[in-house]
Amino acid sequence: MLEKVKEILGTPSDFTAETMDNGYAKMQICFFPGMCDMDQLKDAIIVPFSYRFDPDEFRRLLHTSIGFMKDVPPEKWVDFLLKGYVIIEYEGEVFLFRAIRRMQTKPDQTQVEASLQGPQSAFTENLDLNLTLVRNLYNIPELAVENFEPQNQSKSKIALLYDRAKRNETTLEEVRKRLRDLDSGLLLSAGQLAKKISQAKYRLFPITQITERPDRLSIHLNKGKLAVLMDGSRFAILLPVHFFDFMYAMDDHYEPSWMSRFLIGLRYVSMMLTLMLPALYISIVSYNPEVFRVQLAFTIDGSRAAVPYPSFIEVLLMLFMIEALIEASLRLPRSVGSTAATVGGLILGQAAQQAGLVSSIMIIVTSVVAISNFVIPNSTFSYFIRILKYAFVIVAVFAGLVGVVVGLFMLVVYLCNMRSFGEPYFALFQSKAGKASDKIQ
Amino acid sequence: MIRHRTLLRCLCLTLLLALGGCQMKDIDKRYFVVSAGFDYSDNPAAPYRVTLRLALPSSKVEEGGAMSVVQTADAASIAEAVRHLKSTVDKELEFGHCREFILGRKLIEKDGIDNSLQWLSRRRDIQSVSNVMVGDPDAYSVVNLKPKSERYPGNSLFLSFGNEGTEAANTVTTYLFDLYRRVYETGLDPVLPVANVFRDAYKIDRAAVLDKDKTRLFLDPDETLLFNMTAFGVDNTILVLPDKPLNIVLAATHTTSKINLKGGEDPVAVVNVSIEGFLEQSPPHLLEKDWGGLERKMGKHFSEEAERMLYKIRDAGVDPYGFGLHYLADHHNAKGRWEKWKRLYPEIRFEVRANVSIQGSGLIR
Amino acid sequence: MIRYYYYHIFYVGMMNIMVLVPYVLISHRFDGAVSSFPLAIVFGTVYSYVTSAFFQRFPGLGLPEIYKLFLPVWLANCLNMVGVVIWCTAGIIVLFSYSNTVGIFFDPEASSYLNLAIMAAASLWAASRTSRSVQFTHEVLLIVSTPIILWILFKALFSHWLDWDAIRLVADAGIRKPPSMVCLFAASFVFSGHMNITLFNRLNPKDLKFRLRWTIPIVGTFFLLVSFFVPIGFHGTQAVGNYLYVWSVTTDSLMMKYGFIQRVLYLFLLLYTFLSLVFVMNTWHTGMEFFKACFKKYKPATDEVNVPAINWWICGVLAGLTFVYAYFTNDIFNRVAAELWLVTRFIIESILIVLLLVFLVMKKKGYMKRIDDQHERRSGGASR
Repeated sequence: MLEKVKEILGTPSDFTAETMDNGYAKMQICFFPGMCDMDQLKDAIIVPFSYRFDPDEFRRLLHTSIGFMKDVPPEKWVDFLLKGYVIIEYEGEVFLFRAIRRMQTKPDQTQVEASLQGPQSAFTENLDLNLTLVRNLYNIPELAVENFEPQNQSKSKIALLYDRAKRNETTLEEVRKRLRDLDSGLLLSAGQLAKKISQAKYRLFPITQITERPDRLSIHLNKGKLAVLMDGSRFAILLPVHFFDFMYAMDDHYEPSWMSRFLIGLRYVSMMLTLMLPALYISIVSYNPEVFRVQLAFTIDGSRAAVPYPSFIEVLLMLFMIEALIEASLRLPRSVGSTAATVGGLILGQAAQQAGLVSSIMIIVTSVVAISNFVIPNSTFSYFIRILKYAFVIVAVFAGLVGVVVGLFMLVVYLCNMRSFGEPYFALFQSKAGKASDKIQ
Repeated sequence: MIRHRTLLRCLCLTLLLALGGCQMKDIDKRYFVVSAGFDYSDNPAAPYRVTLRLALPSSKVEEGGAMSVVQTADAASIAEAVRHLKSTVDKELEFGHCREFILGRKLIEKDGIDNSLQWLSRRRDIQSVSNVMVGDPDAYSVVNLKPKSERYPGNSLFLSFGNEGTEAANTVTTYLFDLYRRVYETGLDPVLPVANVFRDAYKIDRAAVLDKDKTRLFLDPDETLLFNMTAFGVDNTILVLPDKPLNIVLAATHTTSKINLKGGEDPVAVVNVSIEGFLEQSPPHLLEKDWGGLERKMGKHFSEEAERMLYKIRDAGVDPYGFGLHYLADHHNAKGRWEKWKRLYPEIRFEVRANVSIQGSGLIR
Repeated sequence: MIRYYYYHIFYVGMMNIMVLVPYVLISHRFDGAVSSFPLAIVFGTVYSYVTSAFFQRFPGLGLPEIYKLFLPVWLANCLNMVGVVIWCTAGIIVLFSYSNTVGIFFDPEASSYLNLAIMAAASLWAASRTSRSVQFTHEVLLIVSTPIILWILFKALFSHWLDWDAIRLVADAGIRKPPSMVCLFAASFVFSGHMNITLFNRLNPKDLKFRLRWTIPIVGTFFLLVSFFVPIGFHGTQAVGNYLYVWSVTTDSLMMKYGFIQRVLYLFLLLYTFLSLVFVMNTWHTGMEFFKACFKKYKPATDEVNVPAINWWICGVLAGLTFVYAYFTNDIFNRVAAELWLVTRFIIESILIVLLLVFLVMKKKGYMKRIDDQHERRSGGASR
């Protein structure tokens, strides 16, 4: 056995392969010490082997304990070894023992989707622990878990979760197919997986949602939808999703209902602002200054008096600055990040305007755009909105206010034309109807 | 291959950039016209004198900080005059925020309002809710005035109308669409406020009643107030009952008026006015003594005054109340009715039924 | 799902302003416009009852499929082509007149083709989507814009500048005249939202009940009266005839004292941009589907994953036709065309109603073909 393994693996220095002898029987054992839980190994194999001198007794142990797998074809051995299994050969029989070292034993803290009053536990990078978290919250026998192991270089385990009583069979079949057809290459995170199973590359909106919260996943499952968990990623993928799902924060379920309604309204308003404001600024300033009330027109006129270039250059300049600032403070270490924000804020807030490079109204527009963008609770979605606003800016440059409105129309058409795994993405009042149709089927 | 495609895309983008911007005209490349005045210049070759007040942008908004310039041009028509003015300034003229149009008194008397109205109603960028008024003695003096208290150029004049800023009771508000309707309507005649300059401020307390084209009658401030109350039911007015040693003044907070025509061959126009308010000035304990009597006395006084004004308007041969339209509506617009009404109107009798109700003595202590 | 039916009723009621219905009616305000209203209300109501009752009996089937059930192929195709022409011209006329209106009020200096190009491109794209997407778009935009449009209408209705004497005069004088045919045709357009069911019935499920049908005359009458009388109230009995864009000027006579936008006109135009695009989308889409139904291979589908290329081609041709129309026409001719279209529409609608009644009789007598085919489609087309 050892020769076969060594043939494939070579002899990496973090690999242990030995033949043990307790005086009565011999046992070949090999494993990666770094990937294995040594305590488990000791309790399950080393101690019994060392103190049970009756070979028969040890044989019985190997055969009865559920921890030992027998009859694994030799070509799979290495795969298991690389996952942290231990392989032993005892009396000519090969057993695999699962002694994977668990890095995490307790749930993470939420980081991306913070909640004030909701549960604070988030998914970890360990699939088993994640499944435990889900099972704890969604504790019914209908919860089904299907495992997938894509044949690529990272071979991370993927679990597909759904509620057997409520799921939609066609969607499920479609997702299964896509998970099976994952191509080769490194698969490192849930985001990457989501991108791969969404297939279309140039979509303007995400059709899967990525979350770190088990409670969100449970609610999603309860609606009869699917979730995908991946080993090594602390995010789950929810699908199919609706446009409106992205505007929900989990707190909306836990806060008083008037407050959460107000907040949801606020988010939609913010989304429209961050999407449209730069475009509206361009079209008002350059095409139709008569549309807005007279005081506003005069204020804009006055503040733009010193600006040397047309409005769209001004907008692009400021948007570039704010995007650079956001990107910089995101990637910098936390201690330096605040410095960047301060410097950037100073430049954007005061100096640029006093130097006559941009108008003071534009400063306000820029900050509203930035702040509103942060209000969107889902970060993937807010990225998409961030990039989409440039489309509106371009339309505004060429066609003014009419262009913006027509652009908005096209956006609605686009959204209505989108399907997330066969389900309409942007249909109002659809959830009830969807359930009704499931019952009919 | 891929590089070629990228190159092509870049090229397209550049072309697109070149294409755009041809329609663009930035806000700082435009002059906002804030008020416009039309006068009659005694030159027969170029009878129309157009005066425009253009706002100059300033980044600070403060009291008296409004900057503007006034430009004048004479031409054979208003459109030509505006075209001339365009060539004298360095930016595009923008009428979208111009809501004050002042017609010189002489222009209306000599030429009528038709030509000005045609120009005003054809420009798409001129708002239908612009205020139209008569400038006395001419439009230039009204446009040229720059009140010290103005924050935005042109704001001061604009705020005088409607209930935007002040709620002056004897300012008639006539919007452009209303003027246009009145000029064409059978049995309804236009009425315009009259603005003149008085000590660095606008004084808009009179009204001009026009037939379809020219002024027929000017109402003085008191009559304008009565007209406003009876024709439009304007709120927040005052009602004065002469008394010794001090006049009794009712601050009317709420006024409604309704027109009714009675009698077939010898019609009586009944104007029902109900006025609610509280006493702003009166001898002490007057109200307590005879509440109902005071109400009746005030009503009677109001009726007499209003009837006098109505007869004055009737005798001038104009109908800003729309009695004629009301008559036609009552009689199904049948044939010959309009001719009959034209016969009847000079002889019509008026009856103003004023119902004054005093809400309180106004005393708070 | 019944709500989709009423969306169409509602938006056609509001769209009448852009199909120049008020213009036609107002130009006849002293000779028979008002007296044709009761007739239009009766016709409109009866027609919508007939169509809804008819299509209720054929769930999941569009008009082209029903033609094929009862008629020989060549006749069905002819009728389909009539539908194509009447639907698509409606879209073209509205697209042209709306892009003109927008051009006049938003940027008169710009080339009118620029606006037309943008809007045609948007309509092309929207109309070539699948029926289900079109329906969703329709719903979203209608729900967004209807409250604001109604608010504007009510603001106008309760404005104290509205001259009730003028309205009374026109109503009183008009009701005594014999009804005019053109006005009947124009006014009945307000009620013609039910015609959209001819295509969108494909999406209707088997057990659809047409509830609340009594609201149709109420909604239609409301929009009809408002769109005719409010301009008269604002501009008087005489001056109202001088305006080309009656409703644009009427909304311009309103003011939002506290809004960011002070001129209601701009808000109104922006909202009607949505509605007009929705109208063009619906008409072109219906026309496109009718056209596709003429081919033998065609199978009606309501929610394909990928839009077939033919959709692009047909809508592209329509957008091109709009440009050709814009090149050869002007405002005056467009008005004549709109009037002609209104007349033709009513006549064709009447013929269709008769045809539907005949079909009903034929069904009862058992002259229907290919019943099994229908079943297959019902399960395929209208699962939701």
